[in-house]
Amino acid sequence: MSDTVAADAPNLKLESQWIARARQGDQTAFSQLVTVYQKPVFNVCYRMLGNRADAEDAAQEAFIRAYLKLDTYNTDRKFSSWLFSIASHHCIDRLRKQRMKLVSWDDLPPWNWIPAKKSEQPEAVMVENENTRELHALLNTLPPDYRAAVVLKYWHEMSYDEIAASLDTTVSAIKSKLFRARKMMAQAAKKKEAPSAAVGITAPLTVL
Amino acid sequence: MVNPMDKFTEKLPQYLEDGLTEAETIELEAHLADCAVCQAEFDALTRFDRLLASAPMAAPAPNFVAVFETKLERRLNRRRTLLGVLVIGSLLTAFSAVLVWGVFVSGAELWQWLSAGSLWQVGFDIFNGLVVVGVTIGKIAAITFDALAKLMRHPALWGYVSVGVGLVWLWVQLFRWTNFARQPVAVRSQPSA
Ligand SMILES: [Zn+2]
Repeated sequence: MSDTVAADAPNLKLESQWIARARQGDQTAFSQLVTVYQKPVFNVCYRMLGNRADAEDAAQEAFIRAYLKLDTYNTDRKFSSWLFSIASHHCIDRLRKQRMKLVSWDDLPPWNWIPAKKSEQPEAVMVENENTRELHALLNTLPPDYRAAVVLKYWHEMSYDEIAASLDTTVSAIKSKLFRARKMMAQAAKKKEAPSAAVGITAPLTVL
Repeated sequence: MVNPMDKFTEKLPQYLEDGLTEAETIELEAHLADCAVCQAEFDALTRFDRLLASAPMAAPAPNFVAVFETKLERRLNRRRTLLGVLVIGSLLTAFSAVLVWGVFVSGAELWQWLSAGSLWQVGFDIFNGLVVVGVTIGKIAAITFDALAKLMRHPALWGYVSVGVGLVWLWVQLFRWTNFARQPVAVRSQPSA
């Protein structure tokens, strides 16, 4: 067990060895895969969820799920695409649950009689630059599945085929999602610019 | 806001995705050069791309892999525990079924008392008692005492109650374990512009 590897250069032969060993239950082999793919998987989650603490949690959960269902991984497929698929599905679920937070099962007895795990310690406030914040604000205007398509397309430069396979949909559906996502984000960008311009126009009207 | 949108404005998304013919592209580019509305729309449509160009791949915390390993270990343990709870739960259920069957004989006696209409009588008494509060309290106390005294003579019922409570608790725990994949999701306020 003296595999040394450059973290940013996944070697395909080594990778398939790790996968084979992880399938036998070798957790250290799987940790090697996590080391290699932590950055891209984290990035998908970060762009999807918009903050680091949730993104780390989601990325780790994605790796856990990958480990638990490793025997369903089809080796003809790129391992990274398979991981992205798990991560984006998980993030889509999370976003949908956030949306339905008001009617969460967690708030109903008897589940909350048993003390639940406290959520993570107060996260270190990360100073994000203005661009990142605006970028996430734009992504935030998109429905979860649109967001996933945009993230996979633009950050990970996946092909339409790969994105469609990762999100269990068709190429034409992905294309139309990307197309509409661009329009939605343009709308949001305009709305953000609008206030300064709009005040001048609407103010006199409201006086009347 | 002076000019309305024109036929070119709507073509901009297609233009951005290389969806126009060469002739259309040339025509649109010429128009774009001196149409303020289309320029504004073009800016809005490409805002995302400009932001993206300045956003590098984000890297996770340095302890990411270590935290992952801890979480995986915990999850695997929990799965083992879940299996254990299922086995013990099934055994306990079977055991309590035997217990219930065992006390069924004295249980039958209890059932006779219950179905003889005594409960209806109790309910009726309570209803009557509601008319005068003082009398009610007295009656409830008396009836409760009476009922308890009767129940004391039927230990089978206590068996039923405690087994029932125990089973409910056990299955609640089981549900709790089977829910392990769900993590609490913190809702954070979105960064405001
Ligand atoms: Zn125009």
